[in-house]
Amino acid sequence: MLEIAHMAKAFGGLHVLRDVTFSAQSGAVTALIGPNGAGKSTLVNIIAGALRPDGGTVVLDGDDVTGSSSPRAFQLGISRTFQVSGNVGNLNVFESVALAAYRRGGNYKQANRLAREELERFDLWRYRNDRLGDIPTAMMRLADFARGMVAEPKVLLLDEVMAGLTPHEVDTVIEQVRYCRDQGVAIVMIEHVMQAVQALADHVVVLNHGEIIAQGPLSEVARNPEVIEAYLGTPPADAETAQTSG
Amino acid sequence: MASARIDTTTAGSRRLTPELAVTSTNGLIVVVALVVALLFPLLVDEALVGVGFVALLYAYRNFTWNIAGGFTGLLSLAHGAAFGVGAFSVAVLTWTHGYNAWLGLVAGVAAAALLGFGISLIMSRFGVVNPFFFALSTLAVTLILAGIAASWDVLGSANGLRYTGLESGFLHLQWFLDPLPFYYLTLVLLVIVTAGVAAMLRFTHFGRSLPFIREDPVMAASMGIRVVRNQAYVMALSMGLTAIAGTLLAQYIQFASYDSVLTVEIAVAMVVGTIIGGSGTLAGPIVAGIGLAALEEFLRSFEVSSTNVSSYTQIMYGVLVILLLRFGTDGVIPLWNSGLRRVFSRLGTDRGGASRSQPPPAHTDDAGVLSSRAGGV
Repeated sequence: MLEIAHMAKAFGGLHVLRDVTFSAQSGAVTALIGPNGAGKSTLVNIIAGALRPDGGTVVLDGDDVTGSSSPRAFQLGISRTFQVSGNVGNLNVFESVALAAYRRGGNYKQANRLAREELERFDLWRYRNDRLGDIPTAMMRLADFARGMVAEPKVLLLDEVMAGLTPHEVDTVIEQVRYCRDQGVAIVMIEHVMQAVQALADHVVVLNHGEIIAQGPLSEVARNPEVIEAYLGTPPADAETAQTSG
Repeated sequence: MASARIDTTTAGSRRLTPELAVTSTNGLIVVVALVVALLFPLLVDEALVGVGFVALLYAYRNFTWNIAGGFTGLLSLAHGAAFGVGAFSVAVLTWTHGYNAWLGLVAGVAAAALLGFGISLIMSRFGVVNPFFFALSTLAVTLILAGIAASWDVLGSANGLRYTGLESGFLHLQWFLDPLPFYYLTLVLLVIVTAGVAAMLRFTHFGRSLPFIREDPVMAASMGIRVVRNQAYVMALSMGLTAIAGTLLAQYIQFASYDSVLTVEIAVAMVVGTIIGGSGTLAGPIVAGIGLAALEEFLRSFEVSSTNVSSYTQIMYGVLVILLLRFGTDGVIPLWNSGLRRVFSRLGTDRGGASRSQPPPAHTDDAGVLSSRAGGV
């Protein structure tokens, strides 16, 4: 289980995160949603060790892992996906999975065997010799999953894995997220595609301006007026009444 | 790339795919090249053996730069300093103080490796990730060391250091004007280092992590790769190996001065040679090193003065770079490979090779295919 408590982060005078507290259960999907600039990516970067928080704690299965470096966080069992772009497209599919497999210990042969198993599980074995940038987008996302999962993580951070996929592809990826969840991994996903949030999220955390404005099951959160306002803005009629009454 | 795969769908019989044909052709070329390299000194006169030694030295020098510059993406110009450290190490320890030349060589390697390790850590400490800044900062290192060598008497200052000893033979790493032993020594060194680096890149976690560090250090770190540490190790390895080239050249010309063995031109030559050949490939730096040495010799045959040779060489570098920009920016070797691939796939379709444009269904490939996984050759 991953517990985030009183997380705070500021860039200069800009408070990106303020007193963020939530937990992500193992074997469950926690969705981080919120408008652009809400601080979701910053939060994920802190959990993965790419950024240091100004305050607050990250606790993984009872151990305080706050402020670990990226490689250390990975060794502790926090895997993350990346939005494949730019140079990353040059990298080999097989190698990217094999390299992550070294976390489970062992040597060249063992890492390759684990990578092969994982690629076959995700039905990606046929793409093993290709560059990440050359395979279809949905397959690229799955390759990223395979890379995350081959390390047998305790936490898997998914950063907008559904972006740019067709509804059919989203369904395929949803299948795979369910599979990862059923392995007992605590999944934290930043997601804008509601189809995926609806299908997967056991727990939804809504961030706006660096603060949690609601959390709970999607059905509850979706009715929360503050959430609706954050996403859609204040309706013109309400805005007028708000002005006159305020 | 779907066509570039071994097709096992037809009753398990392996057909020759373009990728396999390219690999076989290149393998054949490597074998032929090795045989030619072994026989070369026996077939030509002594002057050309000297040229051969210089060509192999260029190839080796480029190759060592490629470990940091090509595979890991560290655009270093400090390798000019590494070359000089190797040369001056043997000059000071052996020529001036009479220690064994091999000791000078080892000391040069250690000093250059330490220098590379330190430079890399300092760059990481100051957060230099931009390759241009990395190039400029490492250029400064070479300039500073050249400045020290030009003004410090221990390093010969303006006059340089000269070998005046009489010992020769393998034990002393000195054969005076006979290029033959130097030629074979460099050949053996080149083969060992190439094979070692190839194995490292393919079989070790450290070696496999280098392309990830090059393409995206942030992602690499999130995969458990210790980016700062591995970069430092790579710079140490790369610059340490470069130093051997400096030692060998100094022993061959029996002279070391700030403007002969510790120059920015040497660093630039390594960079340009690797890029022309194909940075991040195993064969590229070697092909380019030998090719450029042959080109220099060819220009020399026009009886131009030796100062002009270097400026003609610069012009040829320019022409080569322009040609590469026109026909493919990745260098000679990637260009060669894609050309071969095109030829073989055309041959394949002419013979009526059926439906290879479709990817084979998953799970039909056998385990042996793993060994044919496209390497970085």
